[in-house]
Amino acid sequence: MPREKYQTLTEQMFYILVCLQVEQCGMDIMEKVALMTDGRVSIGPGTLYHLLENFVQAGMICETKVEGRRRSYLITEQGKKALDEEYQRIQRVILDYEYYGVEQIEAIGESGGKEREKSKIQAGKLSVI
Amino acid sequence: MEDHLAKMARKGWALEKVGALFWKYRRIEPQELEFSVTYYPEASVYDPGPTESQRRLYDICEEMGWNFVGEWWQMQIFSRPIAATAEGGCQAEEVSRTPLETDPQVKLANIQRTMKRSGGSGNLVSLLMIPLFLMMMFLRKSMMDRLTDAYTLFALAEYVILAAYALTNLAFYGVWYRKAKLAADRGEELPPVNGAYRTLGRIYIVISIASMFLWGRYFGKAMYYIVGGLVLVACLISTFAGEQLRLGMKKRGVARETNRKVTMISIGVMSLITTTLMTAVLIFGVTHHWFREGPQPTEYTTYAKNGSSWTWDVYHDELPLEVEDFMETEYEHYSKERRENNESILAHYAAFRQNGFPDGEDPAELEYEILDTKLWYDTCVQDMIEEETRFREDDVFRTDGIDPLAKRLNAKTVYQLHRSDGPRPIYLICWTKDHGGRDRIVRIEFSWEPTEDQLALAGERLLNAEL
Repeated sequence: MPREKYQTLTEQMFYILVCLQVEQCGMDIMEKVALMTDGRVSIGPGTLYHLLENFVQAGMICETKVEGRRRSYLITEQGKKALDEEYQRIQRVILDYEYYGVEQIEAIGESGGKEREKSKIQAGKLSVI
Repeated sequence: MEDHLAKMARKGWALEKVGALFWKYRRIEPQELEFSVTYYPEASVYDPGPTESQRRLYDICEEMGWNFVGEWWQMQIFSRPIAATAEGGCQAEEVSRTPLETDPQVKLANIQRTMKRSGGSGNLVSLLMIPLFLMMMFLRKSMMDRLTDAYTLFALAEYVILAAYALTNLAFYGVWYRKAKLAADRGEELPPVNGAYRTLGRIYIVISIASMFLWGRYFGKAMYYIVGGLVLVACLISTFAGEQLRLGMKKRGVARETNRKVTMISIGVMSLITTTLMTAVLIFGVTHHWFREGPQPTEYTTYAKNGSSWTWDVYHDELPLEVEDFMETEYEHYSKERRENNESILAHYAAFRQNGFPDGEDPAELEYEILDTKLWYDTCVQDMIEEETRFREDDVFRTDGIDPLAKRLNAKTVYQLHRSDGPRPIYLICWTKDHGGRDRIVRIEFSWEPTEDQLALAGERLLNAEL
């Protein structure tokens, strides 16, 4: 099933938005993402440019200042919401991974997934969006 | 492209400018350079310069050591020196070795947008030309005209080849895109373009050139070289002039849309002018017998009773059948003309005429047409019948009474034209492989009533005449 644009973020998109919780320019984003992920995630300048342009058009970040050829960006409320939704999605994935062992998988359908959902919300591990 | 540019850099050539027809290189010290391409779908060859957004791209890339080299349509080409990465290098060094594009999904999305904006439309235009040419073909009145029109058939053949190339291009892209989408979804690098795609381009050029030579021999020697040369020169002039105009406006900072409209209009006007000039040259050439393959005509002036005079062209072509084959004649001013000669791979049509002039002598005259066709034989017979009978309602071709002649000529059918006042000395003789040994249709018109022996002689000569 195709996903809506920005419904799930790639790692590169995710880390760019994380970085832009603080005003940053392009080069700094690339360096910080590499440091944050110990080099696991790298963003090429071409990719960074296209993603920044797309985020600006989608209203998820905004350009804050231009100093010579350096442009700085900052995440918007919409961008923060997208980041938070991605965080929630990742949390769900982690919880599902932690919960579902062999027995649980075989038991699917008997008690229904909704019970587990309730218990997770009650345990405060998952917030209702 | 990246590999090719890297190879050129190793040999000491750096890309300086990308043109419509040629790429310009300049001499440098041979060096190891890495090239990479990113797609900028909004780019246009009509932009006066890089847009604000493009400059942002160049700035970001330059911060990471990638230098902008040039652009080819929507492709933005960058290069950087290749340097060995030190072991245990710091993150900053790792960042500086990062490829230009690291997200295959973003790259693929840009390629797809680029194809939608420009790549697909060029291919679709080629496909749309086919119905246009088919329409031109079918606007012609008769099947005989369609089969013998080497120029239109050649153009149609070239566009069929071009359409096949365009369709294959689109198919190749479709196959590549599916593979690339799967790779991008898995986070893998996009697959390289299939080498067969480049081979396809070369095959298309070879087939196209072979087709030109195949059809070109039907154009007539002089016409082939002159018209072919004129067309080539006209295309080169239009392309070159259009390109210079576009570049001139680009340098002056003319806005993209204005540049595009002016360039398109100019190319249209230049094409119209060159086509008009070419047509004028051709018409002038035809009326002055430039393209005749036989001897040049001489002139003969006749005088009417009222004192007016007419000057006529008198032709001296070799005819397969002449009045002199039937009778002795002392007329000295016969014009013997091969009036038409249209040939293609599919059919060959020739028309001949031996006629006198209004000089009071009233000599015997002869006119005949020969059509050799491998296809649509019956349709061609019908077309020749209709061509003859369409001007008068009482004209009709009949076969009654001349079966013995058909047998004598070993023809499948012989028709004679009848009018309300009786039969005319105009015959249509139809031979096939089974009757006569070849698929040939002949229309012959005598200015006198021929005897059966004369008809048999005419049939025998025209059946065996080499066109």
